[in-house]
Amino acid sequence: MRRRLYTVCAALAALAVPAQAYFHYVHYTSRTAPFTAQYERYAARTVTFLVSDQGPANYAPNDTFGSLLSQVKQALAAWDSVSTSGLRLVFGGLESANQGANTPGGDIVFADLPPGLLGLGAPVSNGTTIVRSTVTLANDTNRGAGPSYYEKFFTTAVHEVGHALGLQHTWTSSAMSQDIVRNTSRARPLDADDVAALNLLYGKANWQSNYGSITGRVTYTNGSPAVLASVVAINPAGPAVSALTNPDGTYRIDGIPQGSFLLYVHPLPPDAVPADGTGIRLPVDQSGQTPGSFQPTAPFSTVLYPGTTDVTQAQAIQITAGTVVADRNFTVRQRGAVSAYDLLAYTFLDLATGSPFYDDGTSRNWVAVTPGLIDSTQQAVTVKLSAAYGDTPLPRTATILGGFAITQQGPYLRAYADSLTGSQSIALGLGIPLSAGTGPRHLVLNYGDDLYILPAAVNLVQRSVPAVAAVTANADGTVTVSGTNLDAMVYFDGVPAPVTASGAGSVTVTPPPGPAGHTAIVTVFNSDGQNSLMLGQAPQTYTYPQGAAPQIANVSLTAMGVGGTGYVEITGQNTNFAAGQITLGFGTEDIAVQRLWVVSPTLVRANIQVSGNALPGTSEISVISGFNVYPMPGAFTIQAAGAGLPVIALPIGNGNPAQATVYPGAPASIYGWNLGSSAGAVQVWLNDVPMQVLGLAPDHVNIQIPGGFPAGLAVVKLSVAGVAAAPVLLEIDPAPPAIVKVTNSSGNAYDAAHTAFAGDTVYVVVTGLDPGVLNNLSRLNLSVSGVVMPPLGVDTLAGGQNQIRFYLTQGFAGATVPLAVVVDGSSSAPVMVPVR
Amino acid sequence: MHKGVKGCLIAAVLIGWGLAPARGATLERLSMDDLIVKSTAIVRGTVSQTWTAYSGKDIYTHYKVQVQETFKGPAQGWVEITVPGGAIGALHQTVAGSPILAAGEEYVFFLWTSKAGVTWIMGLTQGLFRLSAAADPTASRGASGELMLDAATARPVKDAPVSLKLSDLRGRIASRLAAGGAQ
Repeated sequence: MRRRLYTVCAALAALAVPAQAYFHYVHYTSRTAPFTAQYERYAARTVTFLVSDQGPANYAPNDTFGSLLSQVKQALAAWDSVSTSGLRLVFGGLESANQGANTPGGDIVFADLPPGLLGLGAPVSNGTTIVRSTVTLANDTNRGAGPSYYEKFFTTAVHEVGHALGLQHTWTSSAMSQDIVRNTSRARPLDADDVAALNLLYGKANWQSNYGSITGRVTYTNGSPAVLASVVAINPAGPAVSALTNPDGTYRIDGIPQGSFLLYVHPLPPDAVPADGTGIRLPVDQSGQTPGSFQPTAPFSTVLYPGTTDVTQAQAIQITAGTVVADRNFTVRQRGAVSAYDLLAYTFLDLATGSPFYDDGTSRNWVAVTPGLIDSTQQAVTVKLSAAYGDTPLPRTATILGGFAITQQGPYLRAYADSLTGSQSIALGLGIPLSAGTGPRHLVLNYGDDLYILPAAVNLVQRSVPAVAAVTANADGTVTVSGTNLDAMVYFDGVPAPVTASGAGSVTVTPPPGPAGHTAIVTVFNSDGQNSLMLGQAPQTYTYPQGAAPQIANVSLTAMGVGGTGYVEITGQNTNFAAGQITLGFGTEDIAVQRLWVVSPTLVRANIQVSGNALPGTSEISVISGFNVYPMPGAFTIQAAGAGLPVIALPIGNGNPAQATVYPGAPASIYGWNLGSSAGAVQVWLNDVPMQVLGLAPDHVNIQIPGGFPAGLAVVKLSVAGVAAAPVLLEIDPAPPAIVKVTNSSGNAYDAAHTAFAGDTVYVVVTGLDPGVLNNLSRLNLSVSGVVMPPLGVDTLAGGQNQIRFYLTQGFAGATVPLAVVVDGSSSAPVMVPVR
Repeated sequence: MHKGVKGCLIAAVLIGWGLAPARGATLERLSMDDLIVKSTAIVRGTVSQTWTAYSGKDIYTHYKVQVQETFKGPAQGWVEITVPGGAIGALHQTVAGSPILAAGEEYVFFLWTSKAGVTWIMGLTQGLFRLSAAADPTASRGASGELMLDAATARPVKDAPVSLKLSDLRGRIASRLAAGGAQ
């Protein structure tokens, strides 16, 4: 029995409030309005997390420390990737027990925890400054849920790192949502709500100029403020961003991407703030107390703006970057309890097809998934709605935002007794509209005078779950993964494998380095959030070939003074170091690996720096390469600072701060300490070749890189009056290309007679383009009057020339503007081009 | 596998869990039998002293509990219980889901002592029952708001409040232990 349902869903300016309550750890500066919020956060702009070298005592089958460490590293990388955030997160490898450090950071440790407790943690704060965070895990990965290579482990790790950074729970299904309703994945580890929350704590200057804001106030019908009400801006086919109200009912949602949004307000679910105070931490005043006026107020009916439970009557709010939509106020009606909360939305995947289906009574073998998957190329689907505990109340209507019809109570929206739990669940038959698209979609349940809205309740996809049919080892050491619906994201346990080739039905990867004989589960993760483990069938595996045991043969540097810098070489035997797959750590937040280069499968070089307030003592060096973990406890020593010794600060940059790389023919600025006052006393060598010193300032010396100096890693030595600094490494990059000509599609050079127009495809012929750019166009951009435009492609011409094609995305009113080719952030000499 | 959808659910693909909260806790649901069997001691007692101290880099609150009645484990006059979180000087560490015990209050504690000799309340708050003031007091605990997983499936589950007469609890513990419940 199938049917087609049709869409009836309708889609739907500055009150300067002083604060956003949000879901951070809030300290208000006073107990009365206006409420100015201070958030607990790290003061540092770089935070390093270390994992105890005493890993779990017991592992779930097939689980390994290397897999677990990889997941932690990737979780940190997810938060580190937020480009508008000024906070950098670093995975620092392993540390010994009770390692001391003076630099704020975070620790992940494993402990013998009591039954019923799988893990816990909290930052240590001094007022509103987080000084460190600890996550304590049960030391047995059999407990709870088992191996670290599940996607769930990764998304939970992302969630926990968010806590460590100063974020509490939200209810938008983002990474920081309560676990029960979270909808994130490897492909989409963070949502817009997470990014907004992070930016409010650590955003770069003017980050808000890329986003819009909504402000308003929530009050009860008697005029009293609704405190800690959650106000959510939700794009019917896009993200949701939320904030909590202040003690006077005011709210401000920042970080909303451009687009059309609905707005709703809901009370916190009962399990968010239980009566015993063990839920989210409530805002406090300057004395650390939570007065009654900061407590969440009574439950109320959830409503869409402007105060309706009818989704067709909700008003759409247009968000544009850098603007504030004000006075979006709500008046809410108090009620005894919420109609529903913490619901889960399941769909059922047919094991024969790997696709969700509409339950028409046909006999099938299936598994259930939540958040539910909906294949938007199909006509209909059955969704099961179920409370995590107890009965699920039957709504009057249900719909999915973004074009789905509203389903009325009846044969397609009905309650049934769940034979597994004995509780009431809800079956929802949904017709899928044409052009429903892909991505997360939001569920709206109408209970008459109340709503339950679950952002990102389901994921729309347009193909079946990926299935791995075979994993085949190739003679060159690569592995071919074949099957159906495969994207190019392949994991060996929890470790990503670099893709070397992909085609129809197969992906060839280089296995991450692993110990001989280790059997890894091979999983494919697709960009739509599906993965090859979703059907619950036995996974394909790969067993590493036998071979000599890898080990670390030498570490070239084992001690450094407080505030010092230097470079270290790690030499391996039988290792397979690979760029992007290696972590070098020094066991304390006081030592930072500034940059690392994989020179060969057995050689890694790195610049390191010891903080100026470092705690002297020993620490652990660790090298983590794929699954291989090489701990070296006590191998490094931080010594007292060498008084008066010159020190090279890292990194060394181009003397022209507008250029991001150092290259032959360019000046370089070497900043540092104790550089003296006489340029004549300063000597600098690159690979033992003396450099011309251009000048000396109190904090830096400028040198000239010779035009013919070879590209590659160079050792920088510096001495002041014969006293040597510890040498460091400097990467000499190829010089930026030179522009030969700029033409239109007809081959005419742009000049007064040939003006460029927005929309033109522009051709730029250059010489000296780094050949590596051809394999990685993300390194290349065009700059037109400072506006960055990506390349469409690069053609190889005769005579060592290349032709770069790009789309002129903007006009300049007939002005003659500079056009330059930018590689790795360094610009060619510009040419002038007239652009209308 | 199943025919049709109605009525049941396979949770195979839901199994999976990862790290614990950095500012909160991840719990595993314990039944009353679990509490009785897996505990190393069960006592009724009153909180008499509280202090905080570092263990490693973290702050813990310690409670000295005068024991009025021992249901399981060796008889002892008092027991020291360690709870994560607390404040020392200007530094505070708040672990969501961690209980705060009131001095002078009477509780039934389901306790577990680690190999290192640290005594915890089982399941953070799952093994903590406050006693009302009555001839036959009521032992009760609220539902935890922290993430709680089912031990068998690793699925998130909601916790539920528990309340029963102390006399019933005493009997329940005795009968379970008599049935061979000691760990």
